[in-house]
Amino acid sequence: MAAPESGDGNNGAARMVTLISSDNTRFEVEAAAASLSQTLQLTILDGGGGGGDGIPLPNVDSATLSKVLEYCIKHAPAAANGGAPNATAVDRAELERFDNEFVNIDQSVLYSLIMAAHNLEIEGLQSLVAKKVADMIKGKSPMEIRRTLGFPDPTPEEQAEMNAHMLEYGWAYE
Amino acid sequence: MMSAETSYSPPASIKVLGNDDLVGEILSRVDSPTTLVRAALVCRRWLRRASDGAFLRRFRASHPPRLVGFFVTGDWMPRPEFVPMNTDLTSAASLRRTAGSVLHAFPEFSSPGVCDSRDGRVLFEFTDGARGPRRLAVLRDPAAGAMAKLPPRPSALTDRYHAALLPDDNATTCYHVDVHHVGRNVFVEVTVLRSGVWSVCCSAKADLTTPPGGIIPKVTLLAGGKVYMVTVAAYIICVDLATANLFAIDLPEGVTYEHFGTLVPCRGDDSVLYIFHAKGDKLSVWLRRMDNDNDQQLVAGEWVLRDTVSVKETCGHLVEPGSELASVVGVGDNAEFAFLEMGVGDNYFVIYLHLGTRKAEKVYKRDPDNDEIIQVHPFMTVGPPVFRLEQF
Repeated sequence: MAAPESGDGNNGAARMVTLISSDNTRFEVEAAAASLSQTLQLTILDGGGGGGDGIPLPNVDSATLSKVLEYCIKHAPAAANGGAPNATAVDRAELERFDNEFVNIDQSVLYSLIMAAHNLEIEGLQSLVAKKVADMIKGKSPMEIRRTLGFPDPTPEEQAEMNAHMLEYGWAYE
Repeated sequence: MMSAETSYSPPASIKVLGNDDLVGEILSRVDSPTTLVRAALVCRRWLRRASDGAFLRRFRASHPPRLVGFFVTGDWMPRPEFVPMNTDLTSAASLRRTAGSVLHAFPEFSSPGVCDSRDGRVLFEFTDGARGPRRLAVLRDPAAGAMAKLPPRPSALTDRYHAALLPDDNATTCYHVDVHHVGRNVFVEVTVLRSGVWSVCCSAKADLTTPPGGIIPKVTLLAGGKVYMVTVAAYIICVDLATANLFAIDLPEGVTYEHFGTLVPCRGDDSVLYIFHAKGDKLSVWLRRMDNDNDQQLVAGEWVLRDTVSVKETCGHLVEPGSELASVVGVGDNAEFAFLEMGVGDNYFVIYLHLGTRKAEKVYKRDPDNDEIIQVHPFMTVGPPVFRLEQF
């Protein structure tokens, strides 16, 4: 597929860029989707990532990157509309459905996504995954939160401190 | 491309849970202040993150405490009356139920009154037995309706009771303010109840440039570690609890105390003090920074006029023609809303006015058979706490 000098998705074939994961897998995606990443956007605007070059992402493995790109591809059209003031309710509902399903994933994948979204500065994804973790701890006690999120077991000192804090602050927030 | 099962790198969990930015992203999105408090207690890093001033400001903005209803108090009323509001807010239903019934659950409380109300807590005073001393009780777990009678204050302390106030933090139960003034000399003693023990928190005195004339009860405010008292003179007395400094804050030009409810101080976040001033048809809201942080836009020590409302324009349609603004009977933190008493003849009402939207609502009708002062204490859902970090 021939890549035009500057593609915005409307003049025939969209411009494509190549991203290379930490384990050397190459992903070819539309520039518009990859540009949801603030980190990548500048490189792409400068014409990087095209042809045989590719942009290396040493902090993101292929499984995570594939998941990240799934999100970007889905959200790129709405983002291109500048927050999509003219998006229909149906479009918005569809994105919401996609988002809900998207974060219905194994916890280790979720954590990898959080790191990747943070490193790549993908605002919508950062927000989505942080919200997912926030929802996971809703209504839980400090100890349950530790277990849910996979903290190591507390040392006796940490445990004592938690108990003391719970006595001091917890009562108002039963 | 979706193949490699092995390619997820080792525990990203550790990286995420130990990254202040990411922890902040997560904490800022929890559903409620309750979850925030519990999450903050998970470990020291999270507690530090949740205690950060800028973080708490943003959290408060995105999770604003909601008005559940209000207590009306007046000397002529046998007991405070609770009036529910925002009944569409189902999450606050248990709070509303408790507030509505709490005093009936304590029939031994004789002539109870409300001293202060904030963050889902209410501080009541009552007479213990027929001729007993005035005592304090705090409703501190509103969802469960748990009322705690506070231990009586040691009688050795002065007996010039001025106010009882709920604290900024959760580790303190309450403050008690005694005031004594002769001429230009003002003496204030604040005692504090912590862990069931009363002790003197600070004694402050000063010779002010003009006598206060009178120090108005029932509108005294605790905000950001300072106690504010309205005087008949053209200033507010401020006592800094940490430094025991007592000083006068001059009022903006043209702002004076005329009668009860014409000058009401109001708590603001981030060391901001608000005052409501009612004069004729006009309600003005002023604010002033009370510290010297220089990362804020406001300069400490200058009054800024934030809002001016024509009460007839915003609330006139709710009351009979000819009704006048009588007083400000209650205010919401950060000058978010005010309760105004308005009326004419025998028909006086309390109007809720939301300053931001100018939405006005008639919420209470006064008993026409008396004209005593009434006061309204807003009852809010619980906001995030101020963590006392120095002990960690």
